[in-house]
Amino acid sequence: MSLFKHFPLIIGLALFMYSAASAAQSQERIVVVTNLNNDVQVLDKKGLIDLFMGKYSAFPNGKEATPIDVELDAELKSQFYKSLVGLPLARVNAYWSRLKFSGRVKPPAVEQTLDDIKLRLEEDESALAYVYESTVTNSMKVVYRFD
Amino acid sequence: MINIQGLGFRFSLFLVVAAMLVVLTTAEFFYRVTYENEIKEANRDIEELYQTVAATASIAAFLEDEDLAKEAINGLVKTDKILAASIKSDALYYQTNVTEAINKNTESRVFVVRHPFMPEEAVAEVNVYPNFEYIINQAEKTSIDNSYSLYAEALVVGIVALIITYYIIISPMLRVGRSLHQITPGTSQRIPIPKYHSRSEIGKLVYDTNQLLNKVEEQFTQERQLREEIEFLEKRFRMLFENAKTATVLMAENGTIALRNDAFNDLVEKTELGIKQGYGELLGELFETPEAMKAALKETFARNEFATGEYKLKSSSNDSAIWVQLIASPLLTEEGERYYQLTLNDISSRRQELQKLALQADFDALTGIYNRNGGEKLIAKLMRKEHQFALALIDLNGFKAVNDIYGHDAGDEVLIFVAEQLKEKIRKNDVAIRWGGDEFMLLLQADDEESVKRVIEKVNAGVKQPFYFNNDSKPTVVSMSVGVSFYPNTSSNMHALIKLADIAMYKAKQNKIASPDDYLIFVDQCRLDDENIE
Repeated sequence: MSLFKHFPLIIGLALFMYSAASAAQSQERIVVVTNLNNDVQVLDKKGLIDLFMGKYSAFPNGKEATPIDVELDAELKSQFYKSLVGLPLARVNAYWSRLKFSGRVKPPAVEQTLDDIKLRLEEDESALAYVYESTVTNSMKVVYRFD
Repeated sequence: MINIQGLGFRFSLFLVVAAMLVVLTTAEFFYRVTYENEIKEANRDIEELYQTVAATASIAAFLEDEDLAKEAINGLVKTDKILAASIKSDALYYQTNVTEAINKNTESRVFVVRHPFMPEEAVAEVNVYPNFEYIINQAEKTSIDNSYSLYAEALVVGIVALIITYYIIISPMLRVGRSLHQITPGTSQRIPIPKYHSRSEIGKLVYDTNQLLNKVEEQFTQERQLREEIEFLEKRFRMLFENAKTATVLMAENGTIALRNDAFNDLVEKTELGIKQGYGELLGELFETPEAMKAALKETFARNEFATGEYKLKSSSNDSAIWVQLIASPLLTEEGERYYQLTLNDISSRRQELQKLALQADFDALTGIYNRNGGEKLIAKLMRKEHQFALALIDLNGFKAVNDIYGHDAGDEVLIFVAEQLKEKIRKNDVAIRWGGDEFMLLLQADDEESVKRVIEKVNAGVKQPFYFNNDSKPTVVSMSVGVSFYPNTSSNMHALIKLADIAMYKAKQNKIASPDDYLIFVDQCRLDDENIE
């Protein structure tokens, strides 16, 4: 009985939460960040593709680069690759499985959570990762912003 | 089943040949179309093939990864349709077989390789060299296979056409032909119209043939009736001809016998010639006097009359003579050929009868020697032939007494006896005649008195023999008185000759008692005596 009484309320709450979430999602921008100490100040999209899709393993200045994927935040990862190469995650995974056997090309390193990435960025000078703009900390340097 | 000259075979053959010609003339066209199709298809295939390796090529170009490039290019070249392929980017070049392809002057198809993640950016190009040799081969093979299958189809069509024509046309025609063979023209037999052909050309042909058979039957019936009538007449004519008792032949001008009846054969069998094919012109060989017969016949024919005559046939000597009455009439056929109708009537028996009659006229019934009539004929004949002969007239003495005493039968016996003696004692060429009553005459082949005397003496000796009547003991003796004249010495006139002999005989008769030995007196002597007397 009480459930029926509060039904419109529940519906209304659910709708609010959904719209809030989607508003937050669509508004959330992704930025590519490095260690603060990294010499690289800015990267272009092509350079990012070259690094994340395995063509190069060094920054344009010749220093080693380690692109990092976030394993558990699929939403972030999916959005990132969609923005970068215009492909869904499945296609990106397929790309990598094709290249896995060649051995020469390495996929990005993997960190489990956003916190792990933060930690990694603080410790690893070569690290290159993508995060929501809202989660950028002072220990990160933004080198690329998606529009 | 298959007759090489037959309609079905011809039809199928023409059909097959026509189809082959069509195939032959269109083969080039088909070849061209097939070839172009194949090329087009090959190009499409190449495009598709490229599509399968496009992603690999794209990644290879992006990563500048030679292994991937190899994989893509080798994947292309593995197929038969592609001879060679190469990939070229700023940092990468890989090729397979390209030298060979360039040597073969093969033009390549160029595919632009896009950046895998930024499609607006070209990262490399792939050159694909189609294997034209293989494609052309394929095209040729396909078009040849097509042609072969067309030829085979034409053949199959021909065979099917043959089978169809056999069942639709030839088989019914053969059946019609067979029943036509079994039909005897002029009977009521007709050809059955083949099933399902009542409205086809074959049915029409059979119908027309049956109409023709109707007409034939009609005509045959008419002709048969006519023939029966003719046969009926002929039978009667033949009966008339063959059963005729008169030998009849129909003969061509050259003597060939066209017709003869049994009577003729029977007649001919009696001659020595027997039955033969022919007997020469106008049966000449059959006759004893062919020339005379032919001449007489031809003479009559010339006057356009039929000839008749009595002629003797040639017969073997021991048979009795055959005489025939010959009636011959010339006939002219409508074609202008000349024939003779000859009938031969056997008249032998009639003739014998006549001869017998003639004989009776010339001979003495009692004694069998010539009578006066025959004697006179003989004398005339000898005179005609101018033979010299002596005529001796004989008169019996004492005959009247025998007649009176012993009767006429005895007299007859005496006369027969005397005639026998005369016949017996004279020579072969001499003739004895009973001149009448108890007077006899001898015609002797002699011209002198001596030889006459010799014969007469012999005769006299025979006649004078005594003989006995009815067991009478007293013998009867008959003597004779003879007067002789000579032809032609005495006279060449028969009457005078006889008359003079008679006178001489009469003179001798006067001596019968006074000097019985002077029973023979010659005319000359008598004439001399007369002269002496006078």
